[in-house]
Amino acid sequence: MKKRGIYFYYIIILLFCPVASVYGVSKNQEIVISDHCNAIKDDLSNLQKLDSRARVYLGRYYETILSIYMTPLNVRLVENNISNVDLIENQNKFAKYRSTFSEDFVAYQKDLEELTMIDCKLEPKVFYEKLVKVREKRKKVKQDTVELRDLISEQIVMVKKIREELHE
Amino acid sequence: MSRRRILKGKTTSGGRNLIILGIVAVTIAVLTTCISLIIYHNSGDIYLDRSRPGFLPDEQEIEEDSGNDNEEYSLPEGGIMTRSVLDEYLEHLKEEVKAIDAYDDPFGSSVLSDEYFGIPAEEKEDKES
Repeated sequence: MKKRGIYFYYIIILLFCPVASVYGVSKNQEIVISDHCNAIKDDLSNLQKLDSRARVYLGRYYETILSIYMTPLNVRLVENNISNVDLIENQNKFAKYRSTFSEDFVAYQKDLEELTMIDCKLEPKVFYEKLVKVREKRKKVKQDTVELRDLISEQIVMVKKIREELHE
Repeated sequence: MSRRRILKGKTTSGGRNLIILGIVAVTIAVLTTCISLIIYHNSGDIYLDRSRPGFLPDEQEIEEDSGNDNEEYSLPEGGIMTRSVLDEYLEHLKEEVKAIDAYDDPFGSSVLSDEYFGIPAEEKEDKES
């Protein structure tokens, strides 16, 4: 029974310790955030625009790659009775990550907008806590772009392999 | 009777109905607009829309967009799959990849870092004290 109690407290400590360390804001940090509030808000506003541009730019290329390159090639290979299981799997993964990218971007932008609405002069601690959360959301979006880029590289490798197996 | 009312500055029953109709029409329009905006915001479409004020593409961006004619490529339909078809396919696909890689560090973490905002990183010292 005692052991269970110890494990319980151990789990509770493990759960809350990282949160406390991540969201810890020092007095000095609070003062700096309050002092530079306007400059930080301007930076965040510019970032919103730049991110919006990046999403449109990358999103357009992802759409092109899926609809003009991946899908038609798989259809064509099926018509030619060429085995392309890996390519079909790659296409499905790409479509999945593309929609994940879009969802994660929306979630990130929502949090970023909420962050810009916090009065960092009056509530620097709340602002910093939200900033930490926004960073996590941004990381997810970045990870999605990395995954999509890797899938495109895999597509090129797979197509090259099929090319080698084909006759002139 | 009705003439007398108009002269006195009072509205007739027909005029009153017209005013009620106008108020109801405006109320419905305002309500439906509000509902549409709430859906537009909550669905997240607002964050994907670049036509909203302040997010419109600038001239340089439009010029860059019009310069990309690689989108015109399409894999020929039907026929036998040959090496030359795949060579052309790879050539165009690599062009798209080059354009993706040309975007410098999309969604990089540095722009949200403490250093970027000039926030000192000294939580540990403060906690200990």
